[in-house]
Amino acid sequence: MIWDKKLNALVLGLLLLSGCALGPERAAAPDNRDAPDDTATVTGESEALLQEAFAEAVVLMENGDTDEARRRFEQMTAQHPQRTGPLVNLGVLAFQAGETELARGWFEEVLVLNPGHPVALNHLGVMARNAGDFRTAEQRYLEALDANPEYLPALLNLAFLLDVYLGEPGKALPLYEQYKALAAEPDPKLEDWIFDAKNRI
Amino acid sequence: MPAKLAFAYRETGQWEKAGDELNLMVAMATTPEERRENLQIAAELYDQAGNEDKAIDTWRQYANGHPEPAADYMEAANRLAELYESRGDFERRDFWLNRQMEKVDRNPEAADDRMRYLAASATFAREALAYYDSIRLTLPLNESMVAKSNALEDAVQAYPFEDSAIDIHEQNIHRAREGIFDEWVQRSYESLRRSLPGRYNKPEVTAGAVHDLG
Repeated sequence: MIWDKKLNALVLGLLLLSGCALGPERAAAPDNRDAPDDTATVTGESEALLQEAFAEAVVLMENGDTDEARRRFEQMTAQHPQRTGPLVNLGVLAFQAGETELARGWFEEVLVLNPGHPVALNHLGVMARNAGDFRTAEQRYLEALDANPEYLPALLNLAFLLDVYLGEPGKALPLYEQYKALAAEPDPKLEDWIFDAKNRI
Repeated sequence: MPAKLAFAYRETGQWEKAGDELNLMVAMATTPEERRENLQIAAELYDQAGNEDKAIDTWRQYANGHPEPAADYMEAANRLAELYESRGDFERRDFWLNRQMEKVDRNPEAADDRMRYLAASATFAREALAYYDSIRLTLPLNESMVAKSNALEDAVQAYPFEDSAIDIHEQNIHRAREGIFDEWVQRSYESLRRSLPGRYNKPEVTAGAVHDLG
């Protein structure tokens, strides 16, 4: 286990070094298309290493080693601030730890890079709903669905918002139906929600 | 002979005697399906006769022996819950409410609207009683509700009360739509999540880690 961590730290260290060293070359690559392809190869390698390090941090996160995952994502985002993945996962980790303001900050940074990131928008929607700011929550869910009409968490959360908090089961019903049509394994209580919503229209 | 007698008693509105004849026919039935149908008819006749003891006994035999067809089973379990309810036997009532919920939970795809309705009603009634038991712990919500809840506790028995308690909380959460989301509104949501989970306990869904580096 200790060896694993050391090895991971070594890979990450190398990766971050390569990320620093190769940054300008990556920027220059499109202008040198006729030149020998060494740069592209090295860039490809650094991208592969970054992907690998990111994947390892995700595994740590999913295995519950959240402190280490958080440390790595923070390092990655410092070295590669244009990548949304580490930022989103930092937001998710903060959200899961109940650090709402911190989570909001990370997700808003994601939106600067990608205003239609459905995961960030969905989390911001949930946080707005928890705070009782239902209109902002609705707006965030709608933005998430605008970016990806089949993003199921935002679809279901919007249905819940309309059904439970805004008292509009008639508007929630088509969303439940849409979720039913899209979800590979819909929530087993879905039929009851649909039945109940229909009865209240 | 019992069939003819049963017919005659039914025609003349002598429900209990008709039920007794049907019970005899249960014993004489030559196929399981015939036995099941006779038992069901006998139970219905005792219901019509207003003989609760015999109705309970026959419905119980029916429900314990015939889990299928599910729709008929649900009606039998529902009737048993009603009969025990009217006697104030809440332990047995809850048993049959639970059986209804379990039946639909085990095979939700097989449930039709009526079965879902019965299961939802059973859930409601069961949780309403649990909520009533806890009402002294969860209240007072605020001053105005203290008065209402005290009146509620004084005035009501068993489970018709629950409509009133739920009404109070549902009125309170309407304030959220007007932009009010204070502690009392949030407490009302908490209460409703417990007392009507099928409608109110819908926790938001969020993704875990993203795997896309972006």
